[in-house]
Amino acid sequence: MSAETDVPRRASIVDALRERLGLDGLAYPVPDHANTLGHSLGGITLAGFAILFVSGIYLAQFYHPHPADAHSSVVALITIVPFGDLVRSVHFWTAQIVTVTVLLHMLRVLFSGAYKRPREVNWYVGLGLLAITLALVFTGSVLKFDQEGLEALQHNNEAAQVIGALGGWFSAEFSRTVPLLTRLFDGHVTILPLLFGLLIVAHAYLVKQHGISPKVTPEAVSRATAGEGGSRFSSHVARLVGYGFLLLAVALLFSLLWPAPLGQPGVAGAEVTKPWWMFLWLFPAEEAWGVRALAVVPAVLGVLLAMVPIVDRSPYMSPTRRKVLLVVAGMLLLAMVASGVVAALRPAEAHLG
Amino acid sequence: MKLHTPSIAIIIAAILVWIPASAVFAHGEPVIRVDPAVAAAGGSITVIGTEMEPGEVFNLVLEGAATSVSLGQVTVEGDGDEGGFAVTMSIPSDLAPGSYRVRASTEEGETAVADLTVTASAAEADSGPAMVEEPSGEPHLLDRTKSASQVAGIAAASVASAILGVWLIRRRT
Repeated sequence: MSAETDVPRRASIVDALRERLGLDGLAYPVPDHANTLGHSLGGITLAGFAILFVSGIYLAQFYHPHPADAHSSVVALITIVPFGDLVRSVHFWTAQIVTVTVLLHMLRVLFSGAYKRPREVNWYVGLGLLAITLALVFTGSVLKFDQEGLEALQHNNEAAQVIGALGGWFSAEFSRTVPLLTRLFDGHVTILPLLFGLLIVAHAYLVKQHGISPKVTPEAVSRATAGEGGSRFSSHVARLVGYGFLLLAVALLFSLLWPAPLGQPGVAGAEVTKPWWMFLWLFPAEEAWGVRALAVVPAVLGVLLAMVPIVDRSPYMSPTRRKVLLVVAGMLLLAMVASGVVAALRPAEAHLG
Repeated sequence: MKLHTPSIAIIIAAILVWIPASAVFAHGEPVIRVDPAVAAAGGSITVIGTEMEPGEVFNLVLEGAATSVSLGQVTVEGDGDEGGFAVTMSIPSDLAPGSYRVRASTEEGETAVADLTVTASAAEADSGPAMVEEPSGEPHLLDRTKSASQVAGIAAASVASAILGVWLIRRRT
């Protein structure tokens, strides 16, 4: 085939797809500042989730979600399954990066006032997505069923007891025929991804309806911006896909340098490890107030975050006009970081109750 | 006083917090547990049943992915409405190591199950239940070395992904 006929044919295929898939509908206007890194953190998180879904499907073919076989199946994944160690490590590192980007995304929204009217509902949808992300990370950390995973499961059980019947799903009494580990696996691969899918559709729909929040200037006020801007959503998506490939590159590199860790098989009743960094900050609170803190402190934090759009009802977006709220939020954030550093520096046994 | 939906939700949540999960999910059905939960083939286990009616006869079966072994029958003992049993049984010495369930069922359809892990060592079977190792926070040491071609392939995939990502981010559309 000659080059003269090849180019038009390729162009015609693109045009045909564009027409039939309605791709031109994605070229609606978005503000230029939507393409900055800060405003791309949510999209980068979503790209990371795409990597997690694909790698997770592969891992699920070889993982055995039974307490007696879970750890050995992970060992087999690492040592026998083709690309098992690499895919598991990419899954692990992508989960770590996604946790960072989702937290930074929330902080960006908080500090730029992007939760204000008319975006309050999307703030709550975002909090739901944050909770689901952390739940996915937690259940994922348990599944490997090494000493750290088993201890996480024990803390899960204790925290569930604190909230009574509300934590019933996490109790052994919920089902006498299926082990809790198997049900957490079900949650990790079915319930939580389904909830994530529903909420992310709602999140994207509301962003489309209200537009990207205005650029923060000293006089900027929150308002709907749908249909405004000098850039195109299709260009924005292309950049997000680009960030997704960068994320994959980093995950691959980390996987090569530091494969995902796996501890010794878990021994019930012992506490000799520390949790992953995103849960580590809770441990000084557990030492001070007991296991109740594992349920109460996150609940209080969630309520505080939920109150943000209720407390801060002014239309102004500039941080200089929201000093009190941001100082309180900053102090809470510092306290969490300091708590995490203290827990990280202390010996593993020190967090025992 | 008219209660709004959020108030009703808060009240229901508060009530649920104060109710133990075990009360909500109490089945009123027979329960069994196996002691020890990890035992060697050829060794013995004790099956303990509770929340049963005296006089009921349960068939005990050891179920695996590819096998099912009858462990025999046991009759529930006790006074009044509450009964139970505790019976020691042998695990077949030729049973393959792995995950099993002990199922207790009556002809009327009542069923209770408990997990049992069977290990392989005959020596451990002679000396009783399998010994549990000391807990350790140390990493599980595995041979995770990769060949030069694997390292080169992963590195190349990482670089290609990075180049594609930078191109998509920087290109003008």
